[in-house]
Amino acid sequence: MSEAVLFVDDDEDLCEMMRAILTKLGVSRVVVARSLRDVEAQRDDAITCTIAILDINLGNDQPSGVKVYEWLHREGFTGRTIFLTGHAGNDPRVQEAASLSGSVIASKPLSVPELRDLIGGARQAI
Amino acid sequence: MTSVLWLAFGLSLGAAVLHAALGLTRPVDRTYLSFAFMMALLGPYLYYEWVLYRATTGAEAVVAFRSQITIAHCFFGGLLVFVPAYTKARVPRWQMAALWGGLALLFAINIIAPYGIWFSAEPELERLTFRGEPYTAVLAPPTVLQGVHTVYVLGLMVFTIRCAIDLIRRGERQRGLVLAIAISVSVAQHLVDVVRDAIGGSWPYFAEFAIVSWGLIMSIQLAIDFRTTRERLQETLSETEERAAQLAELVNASLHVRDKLNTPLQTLEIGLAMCKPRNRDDIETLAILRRDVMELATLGRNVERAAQEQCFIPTEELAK
Repeated sequence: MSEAVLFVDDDEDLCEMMRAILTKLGVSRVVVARSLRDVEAQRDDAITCTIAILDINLGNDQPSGVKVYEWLHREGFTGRTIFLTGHAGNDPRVQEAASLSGSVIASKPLSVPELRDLIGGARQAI
Repeated sequence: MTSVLWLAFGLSLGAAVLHAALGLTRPVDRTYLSFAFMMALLGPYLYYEWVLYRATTGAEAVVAFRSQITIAHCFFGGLLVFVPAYTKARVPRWQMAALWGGLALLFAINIIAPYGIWFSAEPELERLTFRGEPYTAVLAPPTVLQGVHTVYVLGLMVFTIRCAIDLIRRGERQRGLVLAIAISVSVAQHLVDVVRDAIGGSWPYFAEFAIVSWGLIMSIQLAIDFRTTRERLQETLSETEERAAQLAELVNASLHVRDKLNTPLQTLEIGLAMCKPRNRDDIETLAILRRDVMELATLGRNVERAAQEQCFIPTEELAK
């Protein structure tokens, strides 16, 4: 894999683990962020990624993953988006994310093979 | 006497309209509907009572009395539907068949017999007054058919009282007692008439109002039943709503726990995948940890599935 992946989740431990596993899976560049503000701070690195893995719920009073998606697309992001969620399919935020074009919804916890398949699928769709 | 008839007529008509409206509301209720049918029959019954009070010849009295008895037979048919529906008593088929068969036979005899079922010949009339109002009373010598008819009516009363006792035994004391009392009042009115004849009293026959008094008592009881049923329904509805709210809270709480579990589980899943076992013990420990993570992930999915189906998950199901 030679993609650049943007991973956004409010959990610091998960961000670090994801950076490590994605690197191990052969992703050439991993950009991690914990909020929309973090993503904005790394704008150039973020919008040049080919795949964005976004947690839908980024914590209380924080813009959701859907807002991050909208911001990325406004800024010129052209890659594929995978929404990662720990919430049920009938959660309104999950339903909003599912309605966005070019996005995939995946439920936490993902096993490593599932993660590899998702990234592989997103790469083929690009 | 006419004013008493008008009063009874108004009461029965009101009861007929009210109980028909209650019985016809979906789902159709046989108890209220059969009662409304009986109350509606009281109108023509009382009309013929009025005709009888004004009869000047035996022939007129025969027509009025025959009509009254025909209406009473239809009333008994309604009673055969009403009593089992009201008491929910299990009546043997043969018993119902005997009661319906007997009624059909009496009905036919009353229509066919030259002077109806009650008279063997044209009856003698007696002009009496009650509170200054003149009225006609009929003097009918006893006949075999009268006896047969009386036995049938007594059988019908015994059947009603037996169903009422069944109801009392099943714990519905008030409803059963009211039915038994109402039918006993009708019997008592007949007994008063026997006393009247025995002592040569001049007051009007009470038996003529037996059906009206029965209807009045049962009408009140059915209205109370309706109110009680509505209150019970309201209570049940409130309890159900309360339980549904509690259930929703529980489901939401389980979902919240599941949501909070998912991110740490994801971290664990990836963390375990990153670990490199150094020896045999590490391999076994990692295998156990992976299995536990998998079980927790399955538990979370089961919670979500159950929440979507909006039902409780049995403890054993959660453990799977």
